[in-house]
Amino acid sequence: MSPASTDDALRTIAGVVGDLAFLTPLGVGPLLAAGEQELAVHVAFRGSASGTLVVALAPGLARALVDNLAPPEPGCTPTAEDLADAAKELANVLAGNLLATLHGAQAEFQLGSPELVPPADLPATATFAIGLILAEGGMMAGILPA
Amino acid sequence: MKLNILVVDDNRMMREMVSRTVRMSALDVGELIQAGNGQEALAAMRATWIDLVLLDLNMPVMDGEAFLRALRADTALRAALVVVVSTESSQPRIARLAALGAGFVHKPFRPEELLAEVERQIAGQRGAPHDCPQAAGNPMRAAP
Ligand SMILES: [Mg+2]
Repeated sequence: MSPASTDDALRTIAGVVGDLAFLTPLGVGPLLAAGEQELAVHVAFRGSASGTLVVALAPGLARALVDNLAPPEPGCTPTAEDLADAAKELANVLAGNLLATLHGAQAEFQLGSPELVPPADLPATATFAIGLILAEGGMMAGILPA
Repeated sequence: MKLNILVVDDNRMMREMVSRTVRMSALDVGELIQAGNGQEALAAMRATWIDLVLLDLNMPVMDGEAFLRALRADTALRAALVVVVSTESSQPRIARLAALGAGFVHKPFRPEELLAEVERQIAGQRGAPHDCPQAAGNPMRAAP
């Protein structure tokens, strides 16, 4: 990605995570290593371009998503399925918005169903890989290709 | 008049979020039903009268665009209002959805954006001319 595209991508990521998880974007963070990930989701896409997006979430991020999207009843904690659903929806929305940012409004894509994958170091083989980290007062995103 | 609403999305959390938005709105909601893909949605509509469908596009089994085409081709179901709620940003595809009579809200959305589009679709339906087959072919009608 060109530096300008990376900036556009980061702005898109910040907007999506800000809206879905109600987290303030704090800027570019380090790439998340496998051991630092709570959940990772894979989305395949085809159409005007084909490839894959991997989104990795640090601990606490999926919970922040659940609390904003479908808050559990007072005294209840979200189930593993709740956290997985929230992470999958985040990956789905990120994929749609990023592809539009990078390929324009005339491009058409079909997105595959988001699927959980075992945490792994963010793969350089993915078209995009995004690592999201909770930080004091918001979140930071690491992105590949940088 | 109460609105029977069908929320169609393959993601359970998103169905909950959309359902909660509708429940907490000023809309007069009757039945509020959920389906996980287009095929389930068609089955639900054959079982229960639905006034408004809030529809995701990217879904397994039957996606939102295929569902919308099937809906508009079905004389018993075609009158339902549809608002697509999707990450879709492709202008050609959004134009195809509009041609099939669907409103559109882009994900991520704020609750007020979804409700404004729903109100717009309801207002559009109220303002739409009704089919009046008798009047159209009525020989007693004065020529203009
Ligand atoms: Mg979907």
